Amino acid sequence: MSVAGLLAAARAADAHAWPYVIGGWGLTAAVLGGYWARLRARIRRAERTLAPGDDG
Amino acid sequence: MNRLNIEEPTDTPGQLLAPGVRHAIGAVALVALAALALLGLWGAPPDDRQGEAMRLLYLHVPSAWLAYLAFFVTAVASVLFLWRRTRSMVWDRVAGASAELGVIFTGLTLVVGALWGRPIWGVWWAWDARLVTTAVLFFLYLGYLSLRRIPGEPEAAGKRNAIAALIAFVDVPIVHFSVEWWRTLHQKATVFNPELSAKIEGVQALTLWIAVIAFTLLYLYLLDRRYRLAVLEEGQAERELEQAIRERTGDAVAGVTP
Amino acid sequence: MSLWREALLVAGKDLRIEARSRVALAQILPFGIVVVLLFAFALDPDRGVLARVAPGLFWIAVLLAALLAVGRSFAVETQSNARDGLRLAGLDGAAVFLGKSGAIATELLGLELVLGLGVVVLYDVEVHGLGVLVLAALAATVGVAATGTLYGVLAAGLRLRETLLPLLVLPVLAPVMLGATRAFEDGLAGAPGDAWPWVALLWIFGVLYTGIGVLAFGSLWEND
Repeated sequence: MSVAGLLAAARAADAHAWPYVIGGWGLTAAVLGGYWARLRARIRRAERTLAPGDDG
Repeated sequence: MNRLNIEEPTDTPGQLLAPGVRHAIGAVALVALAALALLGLWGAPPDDRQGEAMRLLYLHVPSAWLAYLAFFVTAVASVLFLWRRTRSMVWDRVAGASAELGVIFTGLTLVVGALWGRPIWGVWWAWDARLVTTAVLFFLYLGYLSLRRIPGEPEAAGKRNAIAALIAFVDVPIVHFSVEWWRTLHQKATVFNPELSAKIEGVQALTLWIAVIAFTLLYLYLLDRRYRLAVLEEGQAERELEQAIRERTGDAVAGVTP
Repeated sequence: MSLWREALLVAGKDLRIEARSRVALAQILPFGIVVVLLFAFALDPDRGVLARVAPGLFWIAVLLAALLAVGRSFAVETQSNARDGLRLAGLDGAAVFLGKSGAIATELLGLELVLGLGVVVLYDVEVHGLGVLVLAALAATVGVAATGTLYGVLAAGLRLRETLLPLLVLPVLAPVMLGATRAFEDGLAGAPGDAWPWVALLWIFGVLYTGIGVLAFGSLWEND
């Protein structure tokens, strides 16, 4: 395809690009946020079991 | 190994960053991520050539950068572990934590890249050297993470992990080179037409820089947290082992004295 | 004892075990042939597709069979603690690596010969440029055997070895798959000039990973 053709196709697709943008941003936020939340929960749980005093 | 009542391994630091530094990094990362969302989704104008799809590059580019940085850190930490003078479990944990983050960012790079490629190129995927190398990278380090998950005596497991990380790292340039060779010999690159690349300047460039900074700080923060979790899990495993030993010896004593 | 003598001893031991147990001959080789047959079922032999893609199919079949050979090579050491025997014999780690990968390479070369004949007969491939093909196959085999042996010892004795090994080995071998297939395609198409760079790449890979194995195998072997 020629450059002009590609550019025309890109412009035509522009109106339809928003779903991809939202999908990409949403996915990134979900993955990174989910990873962080899971890390935090696991650290809290491990710290609780290691807390001094419950060493049986 | 006769330490009872241990809370966590004390011979190595329990976390990478001092709490104050970590909180500062986390806070700045959060502010930068908020600014990125604001600018990337709304503030920055759509690109002349790529239109709104350009907004995906604000995530794709920093993800790719961090994927490579993370695997590089894993390789360096593995070398430091293998070198006797710097051998410490610190490096083993850093290598593992960084590889895990690297796999996450590589996965994001691939998926966001596909979401960008569909409206811009008209295809989800192209057999380009960069794409194929990134995909191979993803599976190389996925295997490495599976290997890490298998427990063993710390020093032996550490050596095993470090060597596996280096075998994978050495492969990356060979993969890239061979795929590039393969693709350029057989066809001209059509999708990577320079006329189609975005001309990044002004607010767009600022957004991209904020994105790179925000992701790098997020990486540092998550690296510290993942390291912390590794320390805690090692302590937990050690405690469970000691408890099991105590129960067994306790039983034996009870059996002798009626 | 010199390094090479020790390596030959280890290779001889492994090959004798395979000759006696017949696992390679009675299980791995037939497995490779079945894979070659399955490709014909998948790709409809009447449309000439098979002859065109024969190099790629051949190397996929070889890689899959190689995974079995590597797993087998280390299963032998784990059984009845044969590993301790080798260690107590005071053999150099580098020699064990060279011996074991040499034995795997020898088995693979035999396998490639049979599968190659099978592909020529079943897929109706015309052979040109045999010299290039042989050199490419030798180089690729060295690379596969070295990488397989390295990961074999990494995963040896671990739980989940059977499932972990393919995930570890196959991505690393991506350049070998690519290089060997291109070299075979160019060689068969009567354009050996195009194949030489790929053959060079395959040799670089093979030498590099053999080097890593010689350096690293000792500490992995003695450790756990």
